[in-house]
Amino acid sequence: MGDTTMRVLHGIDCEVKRGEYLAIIGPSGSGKSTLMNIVGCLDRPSDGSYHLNGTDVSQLVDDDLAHIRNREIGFIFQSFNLLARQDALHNVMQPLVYRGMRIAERRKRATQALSNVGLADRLHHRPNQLSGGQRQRVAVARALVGEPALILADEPTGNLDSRTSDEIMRLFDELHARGHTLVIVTHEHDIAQHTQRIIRLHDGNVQSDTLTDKAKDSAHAHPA
Amino acid sequence: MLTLLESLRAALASIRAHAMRSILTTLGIIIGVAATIAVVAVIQGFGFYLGGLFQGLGANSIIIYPHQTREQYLAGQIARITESDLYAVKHDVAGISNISPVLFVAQFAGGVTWHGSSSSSQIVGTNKNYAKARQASPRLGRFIVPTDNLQHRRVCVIGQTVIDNLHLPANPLGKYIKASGEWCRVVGVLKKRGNFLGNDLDNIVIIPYATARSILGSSKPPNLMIQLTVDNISRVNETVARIKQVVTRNHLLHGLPTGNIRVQTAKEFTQQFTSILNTITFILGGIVAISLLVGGIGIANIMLVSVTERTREIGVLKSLGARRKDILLQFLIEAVVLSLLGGIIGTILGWLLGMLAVHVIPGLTVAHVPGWAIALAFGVAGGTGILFGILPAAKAANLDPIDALRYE
Repeated sequence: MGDTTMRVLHGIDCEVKRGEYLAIIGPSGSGKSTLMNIVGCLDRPSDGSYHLNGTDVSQLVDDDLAHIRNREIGFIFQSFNLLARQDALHNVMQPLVYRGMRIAERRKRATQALSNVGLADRLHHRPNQLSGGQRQRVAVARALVGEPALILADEPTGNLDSRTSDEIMRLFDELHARGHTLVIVTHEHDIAQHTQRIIRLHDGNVQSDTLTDKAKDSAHAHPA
Repeated sequence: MLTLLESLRAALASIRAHAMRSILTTLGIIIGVAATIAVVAVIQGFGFYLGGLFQGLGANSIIIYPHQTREQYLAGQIARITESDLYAVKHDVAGISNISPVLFVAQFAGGVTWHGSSSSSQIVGTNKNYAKARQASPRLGRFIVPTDNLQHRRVCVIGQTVIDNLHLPANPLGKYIKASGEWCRVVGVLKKRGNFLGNDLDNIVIIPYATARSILGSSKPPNLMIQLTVDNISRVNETVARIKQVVTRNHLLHGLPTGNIRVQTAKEFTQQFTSILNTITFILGGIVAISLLVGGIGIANIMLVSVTERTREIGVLKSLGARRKDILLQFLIEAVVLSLLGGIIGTILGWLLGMLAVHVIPGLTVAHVPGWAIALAFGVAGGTGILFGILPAAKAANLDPIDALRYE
């Protein structure tokens, strides 16, 4: 606890390309969360470097990291983490506040993002008036609204039943098809199978880095 | 500017979400501000009364007025100056002129009204000499003349503020206004005299002394003030001593208590008034400081609770790109809005208390809340919010996003 440095990850060396759809899986304690925090610019690596969209973000100060998170990262959490007192629209507008965007523009973009996830008729519902699946859709809209370079989902279906999980995963597949870069951190194989590439962590090391059947399918479908 | 508005919106939403808690939190501020406003209102009301006694005085003016100590009051020795004192001074003191009785007609008898408008003006019963001693010459019409007193005429001379308050025409001569329940014809309008020690000298209705006596009824002799001027200003002290002698002798003759009148010159009065005001200001400062300290601690406390409660929310905002200063601003503004809310409620409450005091405290005829008191209350409340909000806000701003997101 506190400021002691724990070496959780050892020599992880990988590259995620624009438009990729990948999963990071591993048992608990394997360093998934730590890797996710670094990838999400919530934390800095004690060693090594991390380049996001051409900039080395591993040495930035807190407020610059906040700026990067605002511009380049869209988070989706297991427990949705919506602002309970705000309606769906304001939840989705929130990241744009930190860009200093005018309210009319924010509203326009947030409305668009919510209709992209099929919630055009739920703009003024608060989180507690929405189902789990709908809440996660709001969270997806919030992640998308700032047009980030990377969408980072941490156990996005962990709090959802299997039917809603499928629904959300289909939404992710759709986002991928539209060209978004998605990284999903999960411990469920079914979920990981939706992606094109699976990085398996174990004790802070990359155990394997494999392409899934889907990647092969799409390679067939669109020969490079 | 944009983030400021956004923070304000967030702060209001959060305060509304915990309405009851917010009100209780601001109680300290509410009480502090209310106490200040109420005390200022009452003090200003007294000042209005006191200042009215001495308004527009020249340096050669002397006022004789009844005054008893608390002990004398408890012993039933109520100070009283009667008409016989007036005649005694007039005949037995040399080197004085412009002597006039001054009789205040209490305002709770109805104030001054005209066609549905009302004005809480001073109503003074006096004679023609008042005009010279108080530099109260008419701009329109005439002043009170001796015949007004002889015939108990229902006439009055009014100041500009009364015209404004009652929405009288620019030339109100001949109009009938109701002063303390009696209809009086306006026969003169005073020249504008402005303010003296914070009192509006133009907020006055002057009626003949005899008329004032009839309004008050004849059941008991009126308690007067006597006003006069000294012909030779270098002999002021001797004249004061002589007046005391004459009044004391007259009181002994009539079986009235002695030693409870004050003979005061304009200069003395100003010094006294200033020293009283300083004391009051000092005491007020103490009340405000203590209550706002208590109120501020309350706000700091609830803001710390709020930060802890919303740790996870802060983590989410940080993950969405909120910088340190965004979070700081949001919580700081929430603290300031809370304190200002206390300031608003406190001001209204204090004003109501002041109004109540007018009805409860005898002798106090009007409560007045000056603009500076309200501005001060708000300024200090806002300052308290910033001072005591900064610690919780900094705590929120410095939270680590990972720890905050993981907080249960």
